[in-house]
Amino acid sequence: MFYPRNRCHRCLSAALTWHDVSGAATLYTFTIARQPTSPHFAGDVPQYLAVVELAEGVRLTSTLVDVDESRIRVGMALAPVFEPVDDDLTMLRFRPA
Amino acid sequence: MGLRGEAAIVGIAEYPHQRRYEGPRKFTLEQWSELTALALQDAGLEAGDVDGLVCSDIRESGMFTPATVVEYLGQPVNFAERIDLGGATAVGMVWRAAAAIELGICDVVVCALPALPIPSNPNPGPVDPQRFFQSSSPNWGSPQAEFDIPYGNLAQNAGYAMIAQRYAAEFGYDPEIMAKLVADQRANGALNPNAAFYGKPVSVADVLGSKMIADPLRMLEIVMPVAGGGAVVLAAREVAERCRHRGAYVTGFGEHLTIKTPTYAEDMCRTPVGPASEQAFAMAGLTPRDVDAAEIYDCYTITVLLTLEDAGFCGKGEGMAFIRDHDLRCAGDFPVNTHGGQLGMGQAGAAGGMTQVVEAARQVMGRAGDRQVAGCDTVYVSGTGGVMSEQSALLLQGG
Repeated sequence: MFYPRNRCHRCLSAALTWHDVSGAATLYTFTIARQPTSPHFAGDVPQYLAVVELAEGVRLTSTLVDVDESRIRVGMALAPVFEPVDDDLTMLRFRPA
Repeated sequence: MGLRGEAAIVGIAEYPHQRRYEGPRKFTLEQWSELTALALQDAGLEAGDVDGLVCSDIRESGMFTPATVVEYLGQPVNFAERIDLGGATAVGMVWRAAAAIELGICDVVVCALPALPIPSNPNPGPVDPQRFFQSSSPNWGSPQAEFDIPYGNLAQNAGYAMIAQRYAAEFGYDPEIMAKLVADQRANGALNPNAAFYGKPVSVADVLGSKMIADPLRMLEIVMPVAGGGAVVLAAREVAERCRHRGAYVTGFGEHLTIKTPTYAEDMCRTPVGPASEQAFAMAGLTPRDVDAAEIYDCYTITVLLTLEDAGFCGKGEGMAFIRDHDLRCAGDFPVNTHGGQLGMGQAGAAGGMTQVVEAARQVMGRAGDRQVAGCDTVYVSGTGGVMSEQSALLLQGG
């Protein structure tokens, strides 16, 4: 499941383990926010907001990078991009595979 | 299962919705008492008749809201609820009021959602960070704060736009048909003196020419924030029968909650209003074909499209053709949002959903004036909170 929880979101079991994922993913949906979604993102428009489906089946929120906006399509293959922000924080973004 | 149809909306009140409110500012409590008095007067009831109350947030108290309102109104009650369902709050209020009446614990219940500006505080505290995040929670420990907000996926526009984009990929999407939906609703709103866009219809070209906000949603497909608010009074049948107007009886309801952020929806294009509506129709012993008008929660065009499909007015993937092939105006063959919807009224925050409830009651009561749907006896109402997070459905019928 994603996001991580302390209990399974289907059966509420606490017997959970971490799994590695391959990184293979497709674009479930997206939007191009032409108005910033909050003042914090005023410098980031257009924002390529994405819902990404990993090959393992879970979905997560991310953004697309290194992409020509006219070529964004639902279902396109994606690859992960790890973007270091500071010593403690890395953002997971996606680019066309 | 469910209601017997023994409780009715008997009185309504609604502030004119205005983009720039020019009247006196009033505290939420003052608006509560004013709307209650107006709705009771409309019904032909008196203050002392009230023995139940359903509220939502008020600006003057973060907690103990029902007791605060009860004290201010001076009316003791046997039943008090505070509803936290965003845009589904109004419908959630009405079915809970009807259920309480049918349980026999109260006879007359007021539900109000005031949304006029309150007086400016001369000693304002620090800015509440929540205001930047709207429907998303930035609080410590909030899943959205950790997994969604940092990517800019917050508030409403982006979520609804992503649902629309997914719909487009699965079923196809015609911006002209979505613009036609807006034009039909704005034609209805142009006839409504309480609407912010009273006398201001738009054309398909106007909608298509409006600014793209979050692809594929354009500005005129998104509600405009306004000041407003409204209230309804419900009563048991024996009280309803001596009220001034024909009662709008609550014969069916449903409510369904699934997710907070659509990223985690099982299927973005199959929305909670489906199970909610199925329950409502089954309870009332009706089908979507029996409906004379549909007052569909319309924060965005995509919400109406998906509700038409998921509530069963047409099949999955057929919503575009349905909108294209039907005249949704008041005198049309399938009237939708006869008051203009919130796209025509403007959206007064979480009170927006009350406009749909008030208009549905008005139509059943036969009091919609120029907008009256001939022979209107059965109206479907929906409510939508968050980003298709929580949805509700209601069926109102003449007694």
